[in-house]
Amino acid sequence: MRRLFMQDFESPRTLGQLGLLVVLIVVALVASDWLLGRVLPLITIEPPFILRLQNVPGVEKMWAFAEEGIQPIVFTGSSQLYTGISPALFNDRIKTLSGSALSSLSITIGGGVVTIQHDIIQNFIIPRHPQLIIYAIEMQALTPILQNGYPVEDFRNKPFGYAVSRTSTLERDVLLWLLEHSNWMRYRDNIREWMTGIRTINQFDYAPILTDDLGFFRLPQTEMIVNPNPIKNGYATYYDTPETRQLLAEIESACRQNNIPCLLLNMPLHASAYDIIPPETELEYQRVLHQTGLPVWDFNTPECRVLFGEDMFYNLNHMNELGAAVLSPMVAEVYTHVFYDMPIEGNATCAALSP
Amino acid sequence: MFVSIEFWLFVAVVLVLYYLVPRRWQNGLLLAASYAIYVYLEPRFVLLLAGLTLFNFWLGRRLVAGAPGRSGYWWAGVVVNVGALALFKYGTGLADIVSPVLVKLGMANEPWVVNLLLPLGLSFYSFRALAYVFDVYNGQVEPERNLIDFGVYIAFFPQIVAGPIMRPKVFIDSLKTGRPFSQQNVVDGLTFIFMGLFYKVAIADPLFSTMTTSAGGLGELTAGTAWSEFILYTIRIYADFAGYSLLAIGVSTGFGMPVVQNFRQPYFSKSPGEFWDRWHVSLSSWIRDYIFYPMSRSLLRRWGNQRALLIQVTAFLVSMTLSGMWHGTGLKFVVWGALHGLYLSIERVFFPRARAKPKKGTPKWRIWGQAVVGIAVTLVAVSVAWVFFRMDSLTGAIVFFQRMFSSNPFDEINGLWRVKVLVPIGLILLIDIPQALTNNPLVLWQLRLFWRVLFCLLLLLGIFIFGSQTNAPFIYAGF
Repeated sequence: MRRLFMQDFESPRTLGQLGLLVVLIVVALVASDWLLGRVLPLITIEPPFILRLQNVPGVEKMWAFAEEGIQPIVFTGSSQLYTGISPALFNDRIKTLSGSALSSLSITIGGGVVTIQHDIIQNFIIPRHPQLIIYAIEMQALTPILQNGYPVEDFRNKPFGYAVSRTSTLERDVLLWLLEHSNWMRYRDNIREWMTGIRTINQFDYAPILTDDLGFFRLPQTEMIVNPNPIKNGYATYYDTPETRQLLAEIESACRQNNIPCLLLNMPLHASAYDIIPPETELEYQRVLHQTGLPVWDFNTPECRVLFGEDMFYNLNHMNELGAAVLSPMVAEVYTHVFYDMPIEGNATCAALSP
Repeated sequence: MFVSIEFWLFVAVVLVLYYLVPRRWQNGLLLAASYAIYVYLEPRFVLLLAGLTLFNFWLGRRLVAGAPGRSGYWWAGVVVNVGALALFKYGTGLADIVSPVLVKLGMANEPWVVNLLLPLGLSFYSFRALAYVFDVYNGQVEPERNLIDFGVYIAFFPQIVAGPIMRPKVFIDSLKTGRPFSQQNVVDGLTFIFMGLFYKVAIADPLFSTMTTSAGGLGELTAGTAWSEFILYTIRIYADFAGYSLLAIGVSTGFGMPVVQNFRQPYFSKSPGEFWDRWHVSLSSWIRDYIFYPMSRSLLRRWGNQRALLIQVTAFLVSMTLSGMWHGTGLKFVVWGALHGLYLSIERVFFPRARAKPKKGTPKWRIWGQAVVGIAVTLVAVSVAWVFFRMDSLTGAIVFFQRMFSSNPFDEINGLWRVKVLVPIGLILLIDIPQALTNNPLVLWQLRLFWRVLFCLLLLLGIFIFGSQTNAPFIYAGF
């Protein structure tokens, strides 16, 4: 038995032998990576845990589109985006209005403040040359105290977040390539959680049926949760800082230099949020948005807030499935107006467009 | 030290220079590199390191046979080296005890506030210095005449933080010869480092626990969690220290310096005595050679051979208690050491043939059965002692044991509990079994090529998958 595994002697320990061993290990690594790709679908339905699981489909779709040579319209933003806009409904509405079959997707990060979006837009989305980038922004994304807090830390601790936040282009590109192509890289955190007793296989903290492959997270229509704390902490504490303005300016500059149209889409809040947000804070936020030099599509106007009733919100700053079903076509109508010169009719007239 | 990219870049640069410079400069380069690292890690105490080095170097020539007043110098060596260690280890605690008494006696106005930090590596380099004092005094080594070589012996950077505690003869002798570039040294060094990373990064770090170790905070601990912590700490402390040792050994080997194998799969020991031959070998052999043997010999002279058993038990208890006190302050370390002294004594008194080879003709099932029982009993005994080692206080350890039996732990054992406990056990077995079967730390190079590649692949994937982001400190660097 022992002779099956062991030699009676030690192999010569030279640099040549070491080199040979390293080459063989690399070959074995590649083979095991391929094998893992075949085995995993048999044992799990989990997406690779390169981000929070519900944020993965958008990134995966971006890679798939790039592979197919498709230049999509990319929505990017925080959880407000992934519950508020359905790319599928957006695509359908555009097709109905203009007859054009466009592709769009949503790349989102829970708690995606501008520090995070800056890295994602500049280091991930722009290099894949999309047709248009729509940054779905909110006041909370610019709140100074959130720029280095838990959301950023959580994002950068995930493999994808770690990769896109690297300043070295080489390191970033290598890591992103591996995250796209290597099963060991993609599923490392899943396997770690299964094997360290954190959770069992396929034990999600959300129902996978609620997300689609374009990055939309369907929040079923429920009674609205009125919790003013997120508004108090993330919105009412907003103030303008040179750092956040700089991040927005860099996004604008990166879009311009790469000839990719970008715009800001101001996401709607429930009207009750304005019981807490002071008017001067809202004015300051609006001023900063318009100073970026990016076009702004504002769906958080008083007219829009009247339109979005209580039944369209999950809580004060997240729309639910019904809200998304209303907002997504409205955004499509504005899109056809701006890019196909078609008139805006119906609900979408509540949006304020500039310039 | 071994977990930062900067450290490895530093090692790479020093290693290249080391093999490029003339041989007579190699030791100077090692000394400069060792002090550079020490200044980087612990600038406050570099003068203490230099001071103790100079003192012991000066002392050496005064300890040789025939030197006038050499026993006085021997005592000076003991007092200064042990005193420095005791001052920093016990100074704070001593001040807390003594100063209130002085206040009561009217000899001080208010209690002193003393908060001494333990200088990095002091426990280890003071023991290297003491080994030099003892060995020169006993005529086992010549007093060193080259300050640079002696400085390297005390401060050699891969070993200064947590050992291994090398003996002067082997180490200083190797400094006297040139060390040309050797492919085998580099390959061996990289092999040790690879295995050390697996122990540290793949096994020890993910087991880093945020469980409170104070008696007051343990009240909420459930029996199931207490049992998993009991098992996992036993694995973690071994993987952490064995990993550290292999990293230190790997870097040392790369420089062509001698090292001792500090861990030899200690959890496969069939008795407490065997455990101490396999666990932290450089410290346990130090304790054996400089405390246990001299004390046993001295007692034998006074009490005579007819009390040999009593002498051995006394020497076990005293030397292991001192070993506990070396690890840290507080009664818990005394109890930990004394407990091991007790284990060794029980083995000596009741199972004196525990380590003897089985007689010819003993059935295989019996040999295996005895081995399994021996390993199991030793492992449980060692794990019980680790509880005292880990907790903040003796009370904390007692509360922990109470929590282990506060309810039926099987009520909490589910699939996740099993995975949490069994996977680290599997990883330890993966790397320890091949080494134990061959008694070869470089077993990798004895495996057939297919199994060698597979073994390396598993270690690599282990490091990759379980590699933790906690950057947990090395446990023994705290001593």
